[in-house]
Amino acid sequence: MSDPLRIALVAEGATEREVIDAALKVILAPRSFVLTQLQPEATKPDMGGGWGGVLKWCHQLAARSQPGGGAVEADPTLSNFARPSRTPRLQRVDGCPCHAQPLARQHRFHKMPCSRYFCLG
Amino acid sequence: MIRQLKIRGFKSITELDIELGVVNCFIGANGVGKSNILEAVGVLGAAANGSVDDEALLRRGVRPGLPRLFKSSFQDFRSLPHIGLEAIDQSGATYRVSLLNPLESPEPAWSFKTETLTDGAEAIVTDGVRSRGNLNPKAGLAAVSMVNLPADSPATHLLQQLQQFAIYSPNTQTLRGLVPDPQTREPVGLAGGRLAEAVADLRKWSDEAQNEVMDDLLGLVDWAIDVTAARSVQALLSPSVSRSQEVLKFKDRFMASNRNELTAFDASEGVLYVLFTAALCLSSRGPSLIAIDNLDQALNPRLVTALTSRLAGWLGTAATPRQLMFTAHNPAVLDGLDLDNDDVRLFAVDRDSNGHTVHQRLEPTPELMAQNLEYPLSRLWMMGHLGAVPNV
Repeated sequence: MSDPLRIALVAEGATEREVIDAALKVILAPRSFVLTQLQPEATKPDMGGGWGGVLKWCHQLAARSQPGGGAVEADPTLSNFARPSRTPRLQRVDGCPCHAQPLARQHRFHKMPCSRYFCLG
Repeated sequence: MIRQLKIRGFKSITELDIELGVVNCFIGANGVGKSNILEAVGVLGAAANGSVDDEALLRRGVRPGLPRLFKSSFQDFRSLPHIGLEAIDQSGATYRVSLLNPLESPEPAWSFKTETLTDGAEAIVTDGVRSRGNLNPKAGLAAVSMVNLPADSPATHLLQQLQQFAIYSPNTQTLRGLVPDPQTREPVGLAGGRLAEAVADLRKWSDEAQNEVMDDLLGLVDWAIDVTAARSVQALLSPSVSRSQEVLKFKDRFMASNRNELTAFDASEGVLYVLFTAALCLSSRGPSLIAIDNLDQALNPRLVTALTSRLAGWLGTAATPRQLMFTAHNPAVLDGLDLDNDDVRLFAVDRDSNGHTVHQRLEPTPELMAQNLEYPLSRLWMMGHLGAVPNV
């Protein structure tokens, strides 16, 4: 039976989804996958699109994780999606253009979970 | 009870194996193939009854289609010459068919390429391509073999369950008794016909069994204090309203006592859908394998949560073991599912990157359930965390 990889996507918008979808088809072939966009969420537009929306999504993720944020793969609400096969490399958030650093300092984030989320492991 | 379904090469489903429970909820975006899963069982049911043609499919609520639509067609997929379907029950009894019909110049009825029936231990029917001239390839052998099978054989039960299977799609006009049901059945038709008679039977059964099912049902309808089936409703219905033999009559909680009766024609449609589902799940004359397409239509979110939470209990209360497969789009349905009960199963249906219908059983982990208060399944579905959503 086909066992597609289930991938959750947190991205700036629909254009990114199309590009990532096309890239995944090439990268993962012949394995099929189901790509579900979590952010931007059309029915919850208050988070907005762009990197600001991504940051807010990460903030929401952190709020339901352990104090100070947690790994995406530890979030039980995302347990239906594929887990990275190895620990993703953490990335600095210096380049994030949407006031990430002040927010990270304000909430004492040691790591930004969003950086993990884009890693295909 | 059917525990496993295998579907090969049917519509958008190239390959799908499903482990069923008692209550089986299928969620997913429009057009992902939820109904195709139900229809595949309908085709298998027709085969179990000995003939797969348009009449047999319509009888089971399956949309008839030409082979070029019934057989899977994908750019990346080499189409099978046949449709393969299989059901296995809890005792291991198995019914498996592969059905043929040419894409060009299709026949009115599908031919049995192979057909297998076992009772879990021994093969009862094993037939390959019908090369023997004395056999009609369009007639199933398993249906005929039933006359020689003991009534308590697991193979008999499996065949009966498949033969009785139908996909119910109730609509308001038929539930109100205003239009006849094109597919009548016991206890209710596929579109909801003869609901009044079904409710009368349900009420009688509940009274005799001295259970609280009717009280519980009325508890779901906060405006009504009683529901009965009546033949004479001249005083309540305009002569211009067409009606069936019996009509549902409700007593309103808030209206003055000398003028508090109304019929299904004037009642809220929600109560009719609730009664329909209850009659189907509880009636002793109902099929043992039931499918309802869009169980949640016309229902308020809280009402549909309450309805869904009762399904497992109703199916367990029925005189014979029952199974239900249903599709839904209202997230509130999920909050009524007791997923801690292994017999209550939730399946997310999606299309994969090749367009094939795929499914995933959603099993709540203890960590997830710990977050259920803040993140109920309905919210998680809307957030996309369960999959089964369109990328819109």
